[in-house]
Amino acid sequence: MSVNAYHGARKTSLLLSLLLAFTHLISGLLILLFASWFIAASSIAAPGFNYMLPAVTIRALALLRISSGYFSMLAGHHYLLQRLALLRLFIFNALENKVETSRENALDAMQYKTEEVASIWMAFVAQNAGLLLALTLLNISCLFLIPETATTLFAFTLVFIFIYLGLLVYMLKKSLRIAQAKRRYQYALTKHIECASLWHLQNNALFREPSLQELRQGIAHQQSLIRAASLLTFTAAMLALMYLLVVTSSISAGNALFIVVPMSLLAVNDWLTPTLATQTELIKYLDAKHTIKKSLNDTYSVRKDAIRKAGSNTQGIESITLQGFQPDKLSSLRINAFFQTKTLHLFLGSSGSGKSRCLQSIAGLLNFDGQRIFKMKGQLEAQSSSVVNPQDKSHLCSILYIEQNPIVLSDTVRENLKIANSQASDKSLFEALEQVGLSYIANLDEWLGTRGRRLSGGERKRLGLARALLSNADFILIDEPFEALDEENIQIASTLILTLSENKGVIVATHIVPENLIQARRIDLEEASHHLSKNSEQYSSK
Amino acid sequence: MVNASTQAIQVNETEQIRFKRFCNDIKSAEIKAYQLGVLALRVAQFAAQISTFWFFALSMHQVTSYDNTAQKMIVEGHQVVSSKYLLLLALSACIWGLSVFAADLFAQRLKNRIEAKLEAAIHSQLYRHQLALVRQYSSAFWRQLLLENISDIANYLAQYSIQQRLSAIAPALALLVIFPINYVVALTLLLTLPILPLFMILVGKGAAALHRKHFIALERLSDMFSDRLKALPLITVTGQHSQQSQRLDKASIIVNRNTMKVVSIAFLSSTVLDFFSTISIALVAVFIGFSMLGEINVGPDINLHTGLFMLLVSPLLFSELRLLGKYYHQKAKAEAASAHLTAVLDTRSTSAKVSGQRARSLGQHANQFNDTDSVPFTGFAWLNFQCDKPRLHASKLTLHSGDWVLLEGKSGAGKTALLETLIGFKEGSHALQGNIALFTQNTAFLDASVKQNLSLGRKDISSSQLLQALDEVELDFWYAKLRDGLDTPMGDCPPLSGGEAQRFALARVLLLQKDVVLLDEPTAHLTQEQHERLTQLIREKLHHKTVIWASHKSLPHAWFTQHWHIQAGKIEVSQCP
Repeated sequence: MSVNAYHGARKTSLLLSLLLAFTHLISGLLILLFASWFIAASSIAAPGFNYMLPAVTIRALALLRISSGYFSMLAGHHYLLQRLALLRLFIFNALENKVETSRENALDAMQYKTEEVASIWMAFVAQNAGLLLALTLLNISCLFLIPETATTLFAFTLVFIFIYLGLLVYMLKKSLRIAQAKRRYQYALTKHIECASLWHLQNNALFREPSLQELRQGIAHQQSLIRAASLLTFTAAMLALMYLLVVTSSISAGNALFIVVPMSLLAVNDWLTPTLATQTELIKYLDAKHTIKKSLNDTYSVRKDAIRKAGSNTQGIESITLQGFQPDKLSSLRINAFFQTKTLHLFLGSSGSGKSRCLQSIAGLLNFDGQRIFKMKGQLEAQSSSVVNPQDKSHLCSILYIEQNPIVLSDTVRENLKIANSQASDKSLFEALEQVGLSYIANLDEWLGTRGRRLSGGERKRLGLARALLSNADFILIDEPFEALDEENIQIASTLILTLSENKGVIVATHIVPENLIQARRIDLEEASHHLSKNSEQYSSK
Repeated sequence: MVNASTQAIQVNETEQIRFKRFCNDIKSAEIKAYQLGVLALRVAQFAAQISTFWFFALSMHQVTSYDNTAQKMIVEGHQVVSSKYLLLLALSACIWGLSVFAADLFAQRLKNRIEAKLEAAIHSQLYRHQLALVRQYSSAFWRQLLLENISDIANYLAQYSIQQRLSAIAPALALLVIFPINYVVALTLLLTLPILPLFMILVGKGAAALHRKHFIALERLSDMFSDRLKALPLITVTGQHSQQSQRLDKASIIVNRNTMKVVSIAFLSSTVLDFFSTISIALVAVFIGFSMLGEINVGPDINLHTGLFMLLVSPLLFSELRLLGKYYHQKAKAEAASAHLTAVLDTRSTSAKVSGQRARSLGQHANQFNDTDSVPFTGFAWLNFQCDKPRLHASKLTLHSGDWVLLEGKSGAGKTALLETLIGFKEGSHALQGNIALFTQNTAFLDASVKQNLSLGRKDISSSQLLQALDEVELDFWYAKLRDGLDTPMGDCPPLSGGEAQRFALARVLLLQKDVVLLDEPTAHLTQEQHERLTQLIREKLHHKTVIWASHKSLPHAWFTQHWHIQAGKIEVSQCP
């Protein structure tokens, strides 16, 4: 119900801001036309001319123009912010249980793409609709008040609409090219920066920097179209003005109202041509909408079936069995393994061997082939063949995956820890911080992230471990906890991980094996893949 | 509190100075000439507009007053407005239209020039410092720098700064025209001019103060959306989506409420302009009308010609200022962009310390990175070697052709910086000359075929040499799986594991026949087994080359002829027997 009320409020706010924008535009034009008519009428000073009323009207129009200008900005902005918030919330909710780790740029783009979508009403619709409304009103009033100029004005209106539509069609056609050029450039630049370590080895012939030239040309072309359309509109207006002065003026001579049409033609650069440039906003909107839709569709959905809410599972996972397990896009691996609770397992392999992808797939964050079988607590050994829903991609909440560079939320320390366990008390949060050696962060309300305290790489790793300690998950998967730590911190981390494995199943992916973890069960991924590549016949890709 | 705000203002001032200096650095004679040209066109446009208004008012005067003077003369098709004025009107309108077009065109060209210039400057800086510069920033930073920051600067220089000057000239010009016609109107308008900026500054200060009050909260909360999108894996894996969704919703309500407070003040500043320009039309219109009707008798006589003309010109006093207000965000953006650009482009501070001779050789060196015919390496003996950031110093460094140097030091001591100085990516007192390769732990692959990825564009390497190199680094089994052999695009090949990718990189170094190979922890991310395998291979294949090897992991000491140990900014050299 409240949602409906909210929507209603939003609609009223849109209507209000559109109305105010129209008032602003039309009163601006009207005050100019009315004032010039008033001067013309005063110069003739026909007997019985009531000059007080127009003088009051002009001042009233001026006040209307000023106040509607201010309030239309305010209402428009208010509506924009509301719409933006709703749109972003919608996107965030649409991405529930969808994970996209590989395309961070696309997610970055969401921030301003949503702005481009949300601003369409104020930046494009209000102005263009207002313009067409003003043109129509002008034509109608002309037809009744000064019929001798109506034909000329109508002809000009037709020419303008022709220019307007022509520009729109042409721009829509060309806009795709600009968007493509931009994407191409982004890709080329990212690749270029990635390959920086090769530049000094590369032959000059092959070394090519990505160039913005194509993109610049596209934009320049777009601008030149707008420029040409503006010039054409201006020329048409001046021709119409000349026609009126040469041909129609003799009929209207002595009529003070005659001044209205020439005035509106003279002022096209103020009220008509600027609208032509807003067509780029429409194109941005269309592209942004397309991009958002695409990124929402492109994401991988983690759980298709029933979702287990955190804390609702009374049964815990006793063990995980992998059979012919093959993470997505890793054709060189096929893993058979058994992971048990209260045990520490090590995934060994160099960076790039696919350890992270393996862990993410076990956690269900990535798609996989083969089987991942959970055995729940309390089930008898004999029943283990009737596995719990083998294709079930759920159990995320019973498995916590700690990233190689644990994500720091732009939020308080408390929120950053409670994400692992929303029921945790402040006391347990302090304890966790103490255990991982972050006790110097004493204020749970301190803000972390880009606009707050920045954590070093080592601190982030320890934040990840603190989350692992707080979590109720049955299995903890930790990605490279020792990388980039010094000996002392490796010691602390490995001791914590050992403690953790006393109660839970722990899987650690690493290329470093600290001394006190030598006893842990190991799976060597590099060997697994090497083994596979030698027997490639046997596992040829499907 | 007071202290903090004065501090902020001081920081702001130095930033302003830096921004100004940056803009001056970019402005070459050509760009300055362009800017002046655009300004001249805009002034011409303004003048032509005034002249059009003059002849328009004259024509309207003739039309409206026609029947008063010669009522009997009205004949269908008779020309009411004299041809001379019509011609002049048409001419002024032509100049007006064309000067708008030309000014826009040149502004666009100017923008393109500035963008192209900045783009080239960034790329040449990147090429000069290569990895030493690239690794300091994220890929997103470089994208933003090239795609957005460049345009921000160009927009500022091609639009805002020109408009700024025009908005000072235009009101003066308009007043100058009105004054001889009617000094009363001119004086009235003149009075508003100093009030206008005063109001705008007052309003601006109010908005800024309000913004500062909520600044940190606003900045933090407005980033929350993109932050939570990036954190989706974490949110998903912990099952906290609905909680985070509520948090986002609350945050946006707070942000929106406070933003509305700030903008409700900030919008007043453009309303002030709107107020004066609209009120001036209304007052001028009423004044002129009443003067013509004889209700007001102040100042010279007014007829429709001069009256209409003044009505048309008086809003022009404010129109350029209003346009400036519309471009205002360009300045803020350009200031932010210049901070990024100076960080990348600013070479003043470093190059000032480098001697002239060294600077020149660095310039030449830039071309030598890829020059395959450069002089063979013969060794060096340097006295007082040093570099900055981090500061490193060695009283004597010697290297003979064929030496193997083990470079040691804690992480952060400056091993990478030393290697980058040696190869010439970073400025230092000395740099190596000759055929050098730097081999790091990140292996990169070009978006090209396997062949291109191995030979890196060199045409004088035959296919059999390429195959032999793959064989030598024990990647023959991988090659056997390629669909189109050496022509297979790298993206279609079976993925290489970390150790395999490093062996591929070693094959490149072998093929390019570099004399000196600098190794920057090429095995840091490998398991112990893979580390041993790769180091053995490197020793085997490069033992006759000159090698400087930075490593954390243990290497057989017998391989090395020298040890360089970095400690507290000093490079200590010890010879091995």
